[in-house]
Amino acid sequence: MKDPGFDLRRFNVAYWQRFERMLAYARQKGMVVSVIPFIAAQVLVTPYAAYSEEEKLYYRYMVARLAPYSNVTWDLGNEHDLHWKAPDWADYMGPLVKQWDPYDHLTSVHNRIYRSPGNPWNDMQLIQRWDPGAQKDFFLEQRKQQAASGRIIPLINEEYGYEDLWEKKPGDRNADSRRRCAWEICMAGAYQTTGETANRGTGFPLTPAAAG
Amino acid sequence: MTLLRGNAHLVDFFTSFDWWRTQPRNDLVQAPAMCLAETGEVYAVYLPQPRRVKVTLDGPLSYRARWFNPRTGQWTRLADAAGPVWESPEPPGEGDWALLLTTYDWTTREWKSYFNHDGLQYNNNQWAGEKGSLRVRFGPPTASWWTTHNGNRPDFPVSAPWVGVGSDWGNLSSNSPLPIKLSELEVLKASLSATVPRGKPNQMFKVYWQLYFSDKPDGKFNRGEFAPTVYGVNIPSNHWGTVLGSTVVDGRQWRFADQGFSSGMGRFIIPMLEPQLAPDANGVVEIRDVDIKALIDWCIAEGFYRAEDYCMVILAGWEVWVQDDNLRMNDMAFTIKQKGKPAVTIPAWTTLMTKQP
Repeated sequence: MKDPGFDLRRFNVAYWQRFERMLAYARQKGMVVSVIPFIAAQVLVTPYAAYSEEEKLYYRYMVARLAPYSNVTWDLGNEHDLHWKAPDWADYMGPLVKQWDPYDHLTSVHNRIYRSPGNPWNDMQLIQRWDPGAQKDFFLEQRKQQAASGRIIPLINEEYGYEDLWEKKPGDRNADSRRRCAWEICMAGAYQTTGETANRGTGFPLTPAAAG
Repeated sequence: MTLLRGNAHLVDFFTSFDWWRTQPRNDLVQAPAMCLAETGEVYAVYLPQPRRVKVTLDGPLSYRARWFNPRTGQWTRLADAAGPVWESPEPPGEGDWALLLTTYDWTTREWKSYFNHDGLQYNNNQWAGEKGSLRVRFGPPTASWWTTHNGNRPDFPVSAPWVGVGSDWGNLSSNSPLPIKLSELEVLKASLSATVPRGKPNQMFKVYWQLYFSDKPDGKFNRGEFAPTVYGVNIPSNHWGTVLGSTVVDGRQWRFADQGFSSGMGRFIIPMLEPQLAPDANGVVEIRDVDIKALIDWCIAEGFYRAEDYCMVILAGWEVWVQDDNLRMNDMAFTIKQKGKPAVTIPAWTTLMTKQP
């Protein structure tokens, strides 16, 4: 649904309450949740314009509501650099989020290199880089450049491909190849996270019936 | 998502050591192997292919070495690793493998209550390492030594780790400057720093250097034992034996006691610093550049040892006569010079270098 009828001046409180229950449960399990206000790359409509008052309201509400949870980090916007005609947008929103968040949760934005101290709101570097063999040299180089910049922050490859997804040949993105990616990343002094969308995983590709 | 099983093993591996202290150090291994290291403490090596790997090690330690199977999460213990370059055996099977070399067993926390990586802390485990051409060792005494000393206070267990340099006994080193004939010993200076516990009734603590002499360069030290002592509490009145005399060296007064001939060890002379070191507000006792040679010369002049005897072992030691009460050696250093040869310095423990200068 391209336009589900967003009301930009009213919040769906039941939705936020459900989100809070999820955060509380994750916290019980010792998990930290990267909160992403929207995922533009998944072709969802962005209901508000960059720099608009509605956008600011949305982000401020999110921070006010979720910041009390100790297990959140902020990812300002997935693929923001690809889908926004606003190349400096993160440098605008990042400082606002830091200003609104009394708990100073780690803040970043997905998949664009920000070199602090030029972007002091950026507490960690969220990166997307797929496949084994592509990790070691890249992250070692990133470490060097960070050191040269004068501010060293965690490097996190949060997308190094998904199990069995979009394989170029059978098995080249199976669980074992992803596991090797994870080792390469960690051995290069970086962190990695992984995940799946709810309709993918070991059952992928979906059967025609399941795909609907 | 079978991937998560593999990632769970990854977490197990990295949480078995202080990964946040390590840095990528691929220069210590050969590609395609990768290495994270806190040199002298921990080396984590990842092998994308199942091959042997050489790891350049640092620090005055030997390392507990283990294979880790990233696919199953299983650990396999190896023989201890020692530097300067250690080569692994063949990995136990196909696929990728990881190695973890640590100064103590982080998984079992085997040394946790005893070992402090900021310095040395007594423990009841053998621990030895190679450093350049000198070997330093830290561990309990041999059984015979243990028995001898335990005989003094049979009601107390004894823990007496030591660190030193030697030529033979206890496999201290095969390449140290020792043995040195006492007549050829030109310089022997020693320093140490220890953090001592508060004295409690019936708990004895001692901090000292210890030397062993032999009448042959390849012999056991049956000629004598020599232990300049700088700190002690609750030592039994008969512990030191007969007072022989005293001398002043570099402004410090030393009183010599004689414990006579101990079982097969020869004459046991103990110079005691007077006054003994007093701990500072942090419980630290520290003394630098003590001229041990001058003390030996006094003993030779008095006829207790002979110029033709050989010094076989030199160590800094401490004794804690009640277990679970820590007396920590912070630092130790020796300068040893034989006539006609360059001086050998065993630098401060915390700054030991890979190669001797």
